[in-house]
Amino acid sequence: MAFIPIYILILFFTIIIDYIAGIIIEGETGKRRRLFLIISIVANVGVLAFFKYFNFFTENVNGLLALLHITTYPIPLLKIILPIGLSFHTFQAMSYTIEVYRGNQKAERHFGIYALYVMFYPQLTAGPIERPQNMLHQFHEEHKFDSQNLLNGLRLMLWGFFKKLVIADRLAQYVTIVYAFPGQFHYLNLVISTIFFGFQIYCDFSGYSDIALGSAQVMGFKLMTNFNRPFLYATNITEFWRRWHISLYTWFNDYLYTPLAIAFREYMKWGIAAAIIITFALSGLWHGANWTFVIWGLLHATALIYDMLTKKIRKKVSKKIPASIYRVSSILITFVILNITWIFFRANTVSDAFLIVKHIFTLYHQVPFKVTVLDLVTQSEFVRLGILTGVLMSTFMMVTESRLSAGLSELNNKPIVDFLFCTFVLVSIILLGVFNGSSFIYFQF
Amino acid sequence: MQPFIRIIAVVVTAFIIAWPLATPINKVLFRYRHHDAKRLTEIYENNTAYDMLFIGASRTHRDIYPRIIDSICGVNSYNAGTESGTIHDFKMTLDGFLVNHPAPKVVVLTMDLSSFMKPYDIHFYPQYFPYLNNKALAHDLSEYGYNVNTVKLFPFLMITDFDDFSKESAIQMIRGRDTTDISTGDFDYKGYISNSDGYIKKTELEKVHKNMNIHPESVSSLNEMLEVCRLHHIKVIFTYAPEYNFNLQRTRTNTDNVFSLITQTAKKNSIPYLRDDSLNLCRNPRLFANNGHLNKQGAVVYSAILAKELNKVLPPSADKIH
Repeated sequence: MAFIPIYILILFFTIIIDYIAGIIIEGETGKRRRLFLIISIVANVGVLAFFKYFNFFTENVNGLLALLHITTYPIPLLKIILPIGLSFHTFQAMSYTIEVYRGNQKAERHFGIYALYVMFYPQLTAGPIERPQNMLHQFHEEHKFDSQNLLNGLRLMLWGFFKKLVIADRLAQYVTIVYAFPGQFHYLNLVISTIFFGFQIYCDFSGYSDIALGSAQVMGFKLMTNFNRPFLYATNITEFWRRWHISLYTWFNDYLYTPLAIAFREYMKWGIAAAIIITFALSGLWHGANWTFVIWGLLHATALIYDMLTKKIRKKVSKKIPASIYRVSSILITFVILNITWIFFRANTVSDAFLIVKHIFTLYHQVPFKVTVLDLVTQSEFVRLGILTGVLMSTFMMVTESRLSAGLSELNNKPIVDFLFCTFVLVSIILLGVFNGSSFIYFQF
Repeated sequence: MQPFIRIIAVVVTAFIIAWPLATPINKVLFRYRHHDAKRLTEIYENNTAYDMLFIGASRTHRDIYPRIIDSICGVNSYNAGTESGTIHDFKMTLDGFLVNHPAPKVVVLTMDLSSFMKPYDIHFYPQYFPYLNNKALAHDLSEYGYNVNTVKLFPFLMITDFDDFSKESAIQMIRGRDTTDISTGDFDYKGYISNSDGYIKKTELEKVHKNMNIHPESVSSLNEMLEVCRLHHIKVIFTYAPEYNFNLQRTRTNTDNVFSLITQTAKKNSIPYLRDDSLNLCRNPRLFANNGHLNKQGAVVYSAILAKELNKVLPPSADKIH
């Protein structure tokens, strides 16, 4: 990660464009209104496309030309770094002009407040991707210091740091090595590291969201909930997306899927399926300029279409099986499907991903199973402690989240439990936190 | 309970619980790091007078045996090499050394291809925390962006800087298992630690070519270091330690620029530059533990050669050194 001062101009550019576009859209009617919406969207998508997708596009075109034996003039790659949080704040900026265009939001006249809406620091780098209806009015309101907000915010931040430092970064040590050399590991190592990755990315990203929500709450601002215990309660992929990265899912739902589904409505179910495929392919691409993410998105699209097509059948089946058994088995099946999709999300290349899938499903055991895969680099009996800690703390996290709501606000009325819980979490962070780990995964998007 | 009281109660209780749990782990860790603790205590706390100080990374630490140097050059030398060190580690070593020790007459600085690679990144920085009373060390670490004040205020919090490997080693020692950073059959002497007797059997080169970046901060640190030597009237000598068959240079890129920078700096400051990658021993795999490091026998052979080279570039009268 690097701080490149000139990149501030990118933010400034989109802020100026969208601020002016918002005011003009509100005051205009007819074609000019639409024109300024298009200008705003093109500016935002253009910046995103240039920084995030130019080299991806170029590599693919060059690859295609090489296949056709046209190698005389390969398009040169650009040496550019993706500005941190670009995917998040361009989407947040677009939601503003679209909502003004739709008449759901008044154009913001105060330039400073509009700029703050785009750059509000708790959620600038990795969301939640807010809507103007939820945020802009909060910047106009007076915020007085409230010690209860301070307590709630700090508690949520503490929980976020726990998930990131104690669980995510510890599991990452295992995952990173296995996914760097997937061909060198027993299928059980591949299975374990894939499950670990599911927990890693959940704790990493929801941990960041908790820190963002908590730090906003300390200042008296309320951001939208981004995660709602997806692994514990999602009985199918559709429900998973209602609980995972909610701000992105609803963004795509409001601004891409719904308009597409309406446009394709005459094709009935096939139209909806097409809308799902396009939405999730683009959602995959939003996560990263790599075919692995596109395949990940398409796998989710397939699972969602399956959910849609089998809804009635599954309802019939559910009536024949005891509700609790049906629910638990649905959660487990959803968890397994998610893990298969994580392989594509985490693998460094498409061929690595398919190799991992192949080795898992053919129960590859040409190399011995290693409990502590870090033997590979440290030549020692490393990190039984670390792995044990990761598993135990993941279990603690799941139990806690099954008993408390996403904001942990129930603890307000139970001071002793709150005291014991927060003390345990803080001591765990001090003694077991991995402080030299990586930055948040979603910072790269 | 009032929110403020709740917050304070949590922080105070957590510190009270973590302090007695973390302190023994931190203490034991430094016992596990037996060699490093001895070396760092000598550099940052003791005040022995040395004529010659060797500064560099692992290719100093494991390649230069002071016993041989002392006997051939007739000096009292100390090996202050740091594993995985770059120019910032070298500068910090010199600055910290000069706080308590009299200035050495000569500093032999082994410049590696990777010496300029990192911007302010100290390898395994927690090892320095017990020595923060050394003002120059604390100042340099702080300048490089490490939060030394928190550790000074709450020493038990240094546990947050240790990885799981270190913590597990500490727990094993608390349980009575004797572990140390000196491998069986190896020894240490005046900062030097021997490599094993093993030697290169496979000469396959790494496929990945690593680029040896030159960071401007690193060049500044080198110049600051030379300025410190000038102020203390310390003679500086640059060396490049042996590598097997140029294999490091063959698997790195940007090496010409690194050598050019070192040569130009040496020329500008009238510093002798002993480049030892063309010695005959560099073609003998039995003297190398790996492409970049000599083994136990290789270090003895090379130290003797280096001592003779040093004798040639040092002032003719031994009195000028002593």
